[in-house]
Amino acid sequence: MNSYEAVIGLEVHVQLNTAAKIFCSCSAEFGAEANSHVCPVCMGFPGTLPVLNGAAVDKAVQVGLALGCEIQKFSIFDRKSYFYPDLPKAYQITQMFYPICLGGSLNIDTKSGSRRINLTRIHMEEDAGKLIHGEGESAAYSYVDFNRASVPLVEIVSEPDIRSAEEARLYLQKLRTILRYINVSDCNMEEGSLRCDANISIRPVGEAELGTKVEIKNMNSFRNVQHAIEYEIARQTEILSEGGHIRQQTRLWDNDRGITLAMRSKENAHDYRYFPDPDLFPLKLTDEKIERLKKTIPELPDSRKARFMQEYSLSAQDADLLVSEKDYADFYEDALKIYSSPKNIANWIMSELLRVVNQKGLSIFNAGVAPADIAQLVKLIESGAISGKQGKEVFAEAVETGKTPEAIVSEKGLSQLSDKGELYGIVQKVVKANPSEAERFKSGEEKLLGFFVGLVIKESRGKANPKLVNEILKETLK
Amino acid sequence: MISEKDIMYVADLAKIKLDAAEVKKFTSDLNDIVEYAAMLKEVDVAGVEPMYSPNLDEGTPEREDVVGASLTQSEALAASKYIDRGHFRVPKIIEGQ
Repeated sequence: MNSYEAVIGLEVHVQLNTAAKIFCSCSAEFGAEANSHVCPVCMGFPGTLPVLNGAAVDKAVQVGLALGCEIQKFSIFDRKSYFYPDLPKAYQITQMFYPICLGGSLNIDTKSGSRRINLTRIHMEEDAGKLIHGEGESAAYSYVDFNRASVPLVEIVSEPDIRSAEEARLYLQKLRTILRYINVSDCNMEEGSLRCDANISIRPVGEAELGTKVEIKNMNSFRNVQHAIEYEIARQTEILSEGGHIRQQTRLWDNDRGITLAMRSKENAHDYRYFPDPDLFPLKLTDEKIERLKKTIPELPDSRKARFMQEYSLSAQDADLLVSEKDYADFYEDALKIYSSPKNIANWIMSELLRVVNQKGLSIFNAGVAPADIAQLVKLIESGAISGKQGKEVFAEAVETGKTPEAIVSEKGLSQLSDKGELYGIVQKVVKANPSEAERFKSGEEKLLGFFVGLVIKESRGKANPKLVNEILKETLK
Repeated sequence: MISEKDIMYVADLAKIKLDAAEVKKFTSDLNDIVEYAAMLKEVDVAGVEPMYSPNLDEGTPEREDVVGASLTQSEALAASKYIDRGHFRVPKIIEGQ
């Protein structure tokens, strides 16, 4: 059997988080009462004219800058004509021939190293409305809500540089991280503010020519994207291995069944008759504007990760997690400004704070503890004022009450037992109560040290300073 | 030359039903129009930039990102006969099935 390689390109639609829609002043907000964010412009009433939202342009340019694209100072809006009930004008305003951005790339970190995925283009367009398909008694009907019609989108088109389902997922996740860094979209796949279609073909390894491509739609989570592409690669491989041919078609991912299904398609379904929209002049960008927007681009995840590894000696894995959201990285560096203990502060954020953040579904800055609190807590532990175990109690209390760690420590009378005399007494007691373990330790079974440390800390109700307990135990059991 | 087949194809894209007489009529009409416009081909446009827009000097005007008034749901639905629970009701069309 031949071995095949997959060739994958992704088309990603991203809703821009402007307040108003792209061509009218209706709210672009998600989740409002059906057909309440609509007006004659976005419902395509005759005689209305679109006026471009400047913030949507700025955000599209920011996307291009963050992804290293060539920003086009001249671009044109075109009409893409098709008939579908969610499209009130019977055409979508998009950019076909002269998009706002060309080129660009992003890097993904695969198991076999960093890979650069190139972009073809990014263009601006308007979203369509939402269709709800009736069931049961209403099965003959669909229901249309135009709130989403004309919400601003950018479509980010990659080159066919992706070689596996995993790479596709990594690409999407990286894209999401970058877009959230520059605050142009919340990139919520479940709510549809980030949507992905995949073009997939396979070819024998070593073959330069591309195989017949199949387009996959309807993948609404990162996991689904990976599963759908894995399935599709396996499906195409099986067909070719059996001497069959791939049909060029569009297939839908059926998440419940875990398979892709061919869409019924008319032969001429995809003739959109693009032409420049006479209602909109060309979009012109000045150098000044592009320069101004360049200054708004923050340090992006790749360089921030490299800096965290270098400046704070974090592992690649820890740095990855901390830069995965701009908020995490900002929180971390805010805490470091107050108390510079890069490793311990990273550990507290990653193990304790992010657990709370994920449990409560809150942003890191609203989870109940401020960067200063984490800094203070780590300082209290490092100075030996409280034990790590007590630190966890203090943390839980701080999250619950919003009090500062120092206040909690003094209120609860928490302090670490570091009095050598008192600790010596507890150690004596514990050793006496476990004579046979003490003998085994003395005859070389050193792993029993942990056993004794545990007992001493338990005996002290968690207050004993573990470092001192270690020392005293080693002396006592010599 | 625009053929009857072209006319039927375009009518299908536009979801318009034409009878045989109409197909004939529109084939002839559209050929007249295309022939008339074809006069433009006599002009030598080598080296001339296409005119993408009647106004290439100014860019398209931009609006501030400020939310203005929308229609209410009942206003939005007022012109349609087929409405149900705040939505426009249409015959079911599912892409892909």
